[in-house]
Amino acid sequence: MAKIERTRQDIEAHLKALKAAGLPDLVAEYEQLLAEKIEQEKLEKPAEASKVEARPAVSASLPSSKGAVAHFDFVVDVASFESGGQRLDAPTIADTYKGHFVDVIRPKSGEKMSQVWFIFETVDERVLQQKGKQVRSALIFAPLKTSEKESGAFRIKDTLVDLNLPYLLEGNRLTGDIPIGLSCQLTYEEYVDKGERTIRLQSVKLDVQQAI
Amino acid sequence: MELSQIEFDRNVMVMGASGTGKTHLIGTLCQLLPTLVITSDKNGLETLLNMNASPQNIVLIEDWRRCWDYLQNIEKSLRQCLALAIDDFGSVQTAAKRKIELMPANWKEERIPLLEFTIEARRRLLLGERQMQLRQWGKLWTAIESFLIEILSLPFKVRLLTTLETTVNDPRTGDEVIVPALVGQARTSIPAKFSLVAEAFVSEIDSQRLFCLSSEPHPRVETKDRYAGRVWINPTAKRLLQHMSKDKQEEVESEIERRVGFSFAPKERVQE
Repeated sequence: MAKIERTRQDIEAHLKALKAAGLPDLVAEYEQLLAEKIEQEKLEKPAEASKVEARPAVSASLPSSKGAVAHFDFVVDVASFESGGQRLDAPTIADTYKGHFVDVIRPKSGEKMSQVWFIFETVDERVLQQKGKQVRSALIFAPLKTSEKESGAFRIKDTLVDLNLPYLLEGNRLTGDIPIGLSCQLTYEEYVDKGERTIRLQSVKLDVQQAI
Repeated sequence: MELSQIEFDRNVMVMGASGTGKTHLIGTLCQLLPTLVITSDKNGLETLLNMNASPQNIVLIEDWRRCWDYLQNIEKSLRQCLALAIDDFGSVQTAAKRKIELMPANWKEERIPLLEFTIEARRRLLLGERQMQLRQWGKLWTAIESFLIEILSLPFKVRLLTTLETTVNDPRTGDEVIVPALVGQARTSIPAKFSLVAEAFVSEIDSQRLFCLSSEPHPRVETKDRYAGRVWINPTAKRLLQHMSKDKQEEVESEIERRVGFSFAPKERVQE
């Protein structure tokens, strides 16, 4: 199992929490940890600089209730996939915020989640066909209502786990299926194999910005 | 990694009857530090959510068959969380036990479609007609212990585990002794891995109901404290962490805490 390593930002956030909690011995430990991390980064920097063309990730933020507009290239409405395009929980958050986004992706009529093996591949392809442009950011809504036994929900779960989103499903279930908005930074490569265009995700970074 | 190889520094185990403030203590930890909470007890969730625990940081273990997923999720939470809390570990065991009881026990049962089998097995379990799959439990406890080893070996800075308590007869004295309500070897092997094992209870002094936590040594309660035992009234995670800190910045035991301590401690100590 791959160990998840804390980044410098994570350590800084933890240090802040420890200082606020008033736990001096843990603060001291974390200050030491942060110093080690900074040192480690210094050593790794020259190696990273030699890497070929790192693709820039586009950051995105959620629309807030104060009226800020987000900059997502597309929105994946997972609920629609689960219900095979038949909206069971309208009006949804995605409908509410549609005006803020470039597009809201919905499955085609009759399309079921079981036909969608990997949400991003399918969605990327479609957005590219529609817009003829690069998709670099996304907002995902995942109000998971169906039981775990349904394969669709399993696939969504697996996908989200792959995307480093472990607690989303649990959180939603606990809070009564409240959709959680996520901002997402993704980079991908596009290649043509036997005349067929394919999108392959390179990295995905998601941040839970706020529960809607 | 073996359990014995794990280093425990800020590891706290709290046992206690229902309603003595165990989940509340976890809530105070959630308020203090970003904390990942693992639980199978849906009843405790309300307390935690009311205390502003982040729903994203709660892993509800409902189906033991997904334990590998849970473990991966827990590991990923290391980036966000500093502390780990396991609320009512006994209920995690129960969730796992249920999995065993609802598994086909022989080839005949294996041939029944799963959904149909599960309904029938549940019906027969309720009516007491299904033979318990005791032989399978040994494997299960091994699995649970492995799960716990994996979780506890993750570098969370604080670990807090709560469990219900029960009584057993001490074979040496015949007296009833309060122990964690854990099944099998876990009852002794798990507390051994914690540096502070305390009992939560409600006491009444001067007509006041007090939520107490004690790590005082007691012949009838299996407590343990590497940092010298004491009693806390209205305990919080912060006070416990201060108690375990290297520079010992904790507040001194109050008069009323000492009084609870004396009434809790063995007779010989009270006479001293």
